[in-house]
Amino acid sequence: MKIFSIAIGEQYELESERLKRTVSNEIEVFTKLNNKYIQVNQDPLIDGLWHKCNFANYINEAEGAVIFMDADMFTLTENPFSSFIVEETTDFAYVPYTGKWHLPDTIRQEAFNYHGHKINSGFMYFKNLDIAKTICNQWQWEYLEREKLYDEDKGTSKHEYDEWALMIALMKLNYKIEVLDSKWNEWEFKTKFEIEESDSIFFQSHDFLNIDKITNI
Amino acid sequence: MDILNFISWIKGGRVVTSVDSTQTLIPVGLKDNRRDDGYLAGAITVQDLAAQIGSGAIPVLNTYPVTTPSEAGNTFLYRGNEWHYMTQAEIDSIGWTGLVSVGFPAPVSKVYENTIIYVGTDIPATDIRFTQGASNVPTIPLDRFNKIFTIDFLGLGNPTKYAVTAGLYTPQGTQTVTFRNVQLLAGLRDLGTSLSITYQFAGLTAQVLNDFFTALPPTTFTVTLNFQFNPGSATCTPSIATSKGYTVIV
Repeated sequence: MKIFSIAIGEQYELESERLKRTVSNEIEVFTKLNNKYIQVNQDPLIDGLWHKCNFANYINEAEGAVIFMDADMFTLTENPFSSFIVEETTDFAYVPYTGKWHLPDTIRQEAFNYHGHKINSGFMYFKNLDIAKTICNQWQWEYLEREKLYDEDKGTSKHEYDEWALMIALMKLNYKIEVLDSKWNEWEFKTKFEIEESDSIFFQSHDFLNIDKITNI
Repeated sequence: MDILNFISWIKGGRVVTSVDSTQTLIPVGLKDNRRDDGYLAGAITVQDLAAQIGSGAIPVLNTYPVTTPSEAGNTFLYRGNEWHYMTQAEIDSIGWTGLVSVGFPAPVSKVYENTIIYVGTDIPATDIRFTQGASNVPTIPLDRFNKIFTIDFLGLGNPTKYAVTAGLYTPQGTQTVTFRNVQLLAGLRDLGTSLSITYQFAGLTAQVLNDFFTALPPTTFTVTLNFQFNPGSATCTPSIATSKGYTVIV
């Protein structure tokens, strides 16, 4: 299994260090220092998100599954992947957002209706590197297509992030998809109490940067 | 009179802390261009001088004041902004008749801060909350479900600000809520991954949600409204808002 993350920018690099500290498995992090890094957009948010969409193309080799984790994730669980399991036939798996989303445009509304929920791209499972690269190739292309639409006067902006592009990309690929439990990416918890009391395995927050491996926050 | 005389008076113990303002005179220089030095010596009573100067500076308050009818029309500084105690005419002019009393402390301009005021049957009119970012989440205390109250968006109309607000988390019960001045929410936009408005578990009915959607101004920003887990979530009409550019989660 290969665990990979993207950290474009100082804040994400700091957060990726926390991720590496708290997770016992080896994690490879792609930063601007990688010789494959090229600036694709002057906007740092768009630039960073595009590299996330393209992440699998920075992996030279991987044995078995590929796990992508956002840089701002962390765990308080020892051996967090010991209980991770997906169906044998699953090609791609993710944690969904809750709620029924109603969008102001038909492209994203069709993507939501297709999947039945909005995809959270913070924690994703890919059966192997080939599947990861195929999805990323489509994902990064769709993201650039979305980026062309970014015009606040027309009602779209970069703050839609990367996930709608992923959802649109997956609509065009014929993969077996599995939905994961929210314990693999608990992103809504904001307080120390909520996190400490939770049974979830991975959390996502820009706060609590000072935590160390399996210690109290 | 010169400075040496003045000093000698002080040395003579003639410094006082209070005077009869109607009988006490203060020396003044009266402008007189016929004189070589341009001024003519004169006097004014303390009473007349005080009346002419007035109180001057606007008082700076460290805590949000209570409604004070006798202060109606007067201003004060609070949290770095200018506020005033409202007159009846001001209250009527913005549609708050019956909602707040004369002397209610309000921002002079509605575009100053991300200010929300809760007013309810058991919530004091002074229960004012500020939301200046997603980290400051106003919540209705747990004993305030099943109540009737109004949420007035006093200052969320500033188009140059991110206006993120969240709250109304109540674990059970229903709320009879009236949102007022929703049309002021012209500055809403998602702040990073934080949604513009999150009112979950808020006891909001479909009618309240639809009224909210109807009152919203059109937007060109990325604005997401999260109204999950309300009694009206499944039966409201989000298209009222999406047609104006909003994303709605129910």
